[in-house]
Amino acid sequence: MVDRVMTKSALAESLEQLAATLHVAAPVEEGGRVMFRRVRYAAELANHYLPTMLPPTKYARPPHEELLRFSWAEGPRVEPVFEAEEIVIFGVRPCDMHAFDLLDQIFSEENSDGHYQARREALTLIGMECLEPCDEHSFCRSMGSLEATGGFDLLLSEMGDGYYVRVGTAKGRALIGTFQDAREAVYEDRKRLRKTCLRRESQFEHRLEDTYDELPRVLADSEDSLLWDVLGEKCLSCGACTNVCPTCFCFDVHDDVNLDLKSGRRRRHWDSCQLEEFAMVGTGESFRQPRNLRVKHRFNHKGRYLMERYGVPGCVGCGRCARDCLVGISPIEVFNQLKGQPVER
Amino acid sequence: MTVVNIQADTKLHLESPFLPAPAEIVRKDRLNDTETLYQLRLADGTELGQLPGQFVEVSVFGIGEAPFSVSSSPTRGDAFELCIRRVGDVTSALERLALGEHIGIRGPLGRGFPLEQMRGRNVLIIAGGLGIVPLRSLITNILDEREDFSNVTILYGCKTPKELLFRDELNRWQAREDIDFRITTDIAEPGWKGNVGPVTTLFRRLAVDPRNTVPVMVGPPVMFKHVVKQVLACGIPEDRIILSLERRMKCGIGECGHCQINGIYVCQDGPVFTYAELKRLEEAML
Repeated sequence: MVDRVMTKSALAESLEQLAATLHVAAPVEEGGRVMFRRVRYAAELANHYLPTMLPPTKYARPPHEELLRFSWAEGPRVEPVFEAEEIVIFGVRPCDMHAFDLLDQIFSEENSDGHYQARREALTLIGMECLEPCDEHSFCRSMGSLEATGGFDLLLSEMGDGYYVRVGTAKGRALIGTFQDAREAVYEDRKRLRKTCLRRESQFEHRLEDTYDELPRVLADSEDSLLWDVLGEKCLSCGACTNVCPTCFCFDVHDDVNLDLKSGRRRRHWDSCQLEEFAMVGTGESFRQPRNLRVKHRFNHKGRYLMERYGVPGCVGCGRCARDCLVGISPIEVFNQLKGQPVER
Repeated sequence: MTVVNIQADTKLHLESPFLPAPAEIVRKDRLNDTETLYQLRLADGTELGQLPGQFVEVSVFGIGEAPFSVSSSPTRGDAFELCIRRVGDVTSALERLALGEHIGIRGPLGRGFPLEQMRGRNVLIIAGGLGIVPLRSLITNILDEREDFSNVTILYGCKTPKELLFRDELNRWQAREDIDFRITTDIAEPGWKGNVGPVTTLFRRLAVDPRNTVPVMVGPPVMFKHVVKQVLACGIPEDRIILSLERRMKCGIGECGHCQINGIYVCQDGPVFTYAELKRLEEAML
C-alpha cells in the first residue's frame, strides 16, 4: 500500500471533517491529565502527551460491558448482546498498539469472544509514532514496543510541518482516500523518514537491564526473592496499576435485575488480581491472599506468564502503572532489582 | 452516542462464549443439611456429553453464574447431575427453584480425568470431603465399564459420618465384591463403626502395585499434601498421579483470570492435572 504525506493543517481539516459525522477519539488534556475523549475540533487535541491516563484499549474492552439480556416472564429467554460503536481513535501510541495486538490474540484468536470482536472491528486506529521519550517511567524500548509493528490502520510520523502516513490495512486505505491533500510519498520522503527514525533510536534508552525475552527466566529465578515481601509491605492493593494497564484484561461478571423483576442483564466489569477477593472460592478459601503474592502474581503475569503462553510480552513498557502508583512501585525498578541489585528491607 | 447492535450489519460471525443453554430441573434430592443433588436435562434434548472430571457453569438468571463439577457419569443417559453445597447467592437461589424450572448451563468445560489411559490398569481413587462429587462421575463410569479396568480401590474420607454423601451408592459400592471400597471419618460419632482418622490411614493395609496403578485424588489442599506423599512413597511416578483442583472458574474460557495458578488457567488446562504438571507451581499449594 502506498504511503502518503500530509501537512499538519490538511490533516487537522480532514480530522474535523471526519469528526463531523463520526465518533473521533483523541488525546485531550483535562484537569492536568491527558485522556482519550471524543473530539470535534483539531484545536482540542493535546500536542505533546504522556501515555493517556486510561489506555485506548478501553474502547475495545470497556470498564462495564453487557454480555447477555435475559427474562423469565414466559419461560427462560436469553440472548447475547453485541454492542459496538464505530470509533476512529487518533493518536494511538506504539505501546498501546502492541497492547491491542495482545488483546486481539487473547479475545479473538485464542477465544472467539464476540463481545470484544464486535467492538474491536468497529475501531479504526490512527497511530502516532513516538519520536522522543515521554518520561522516566516508560521503558518501551526494552519491551520491544517502541516501534509500531502492526495493529494500526494508519500510522503517522511527524516530519517537520507534516506527517508521513503509513497505511496498515484496507480500512486505513479507505480512510486516507477520504483525506484531502494526502499526496503519495516519494523517495525523498522515505529517506527523510528513515533519518527521523534513526535519530529517534539514540534518544530512547534501554531502561531494563534485560530485554523482555530474558524476563521470564529472571522472574522464574526470583520465586523466593525478598523483594516480593518488601513490595507486599509497600503495596496498598488499591488496584490502580491494573486499572490503567493497557494489557490487563481480567474481569468479573455480575447479573443486574431490571425493575420489573422479570428480566435483567449480565455484565462484565474490570477486575483486579490485586484485590483480596479475586482468587476466593465459594467456600471462602482464598488462593492468593497475602499481599506479597498478589504483587508477585502481577509482575509474573506481565513479564513471564503471558510470554510463556502467547509468545509476546504482557507488558508494553508504557509506565502507566508506575505513574499512577500511590506508593511509587515501578516495574523498571522491580525488574532491575530482581536481576540482581541488592534488596533492602 | 450511536450504539448499534452490530449483529445486523456486519460480516463478522459473532459468538458469545457466555451464552448458556437452558436446562430443566427434573429431580432434586436433599443429601444433607447443605448439599442437594440436582438432576438436569438440557431443554434442546441433547446430552451434555461430559467426560468425568469436567465442569459446567450454572446460571440462575438475575443472581449470577458459578462453576460446578458434573457428578454423573456419561454412561447414564441424557440427564446429568450436579451435587451442590449451599454456600452463596447462586447456590441458595438454586435451592429455591422448583422442579420444572430452568437454569442456564455452559459446558462441559475443562479437561477431565484421563479415562482412556486408565483402562486396563489398577485405579486407586481417593476422595476427601466434597471431592467425592466429581469422583462419583468417574467411579460410576468405571463401574459401568468394570471389565475395562483391573483392580479398583476407592478411599473416601470425611470430617464426620454425617457429611458422607451419596449414602445409597456408598452402600452399594461397599457390597460389591469386585471393588475395594473403604471409608473413614476424621471424627467418630456415636454409632460409627468404621475407620477413624484421615484418609491416609486407609493406606495402611493397602497393597499398591506401583507399575500399574493410576491414583486419582480430589479433596481439600491439605489432603493433597499428605496423599501425594503417600502415593509417591508407593513408588508411583509423578506423571501418573492425577489430581483435580478447585479454583474460582468464573468465565471457564481462560479469559477472566480468577482461576489462574501461576501461568496456567485451571478452567482450561485443568481442573484435572498430573502431579508432575503442578509440583513446581507455588500457587497450586501442593
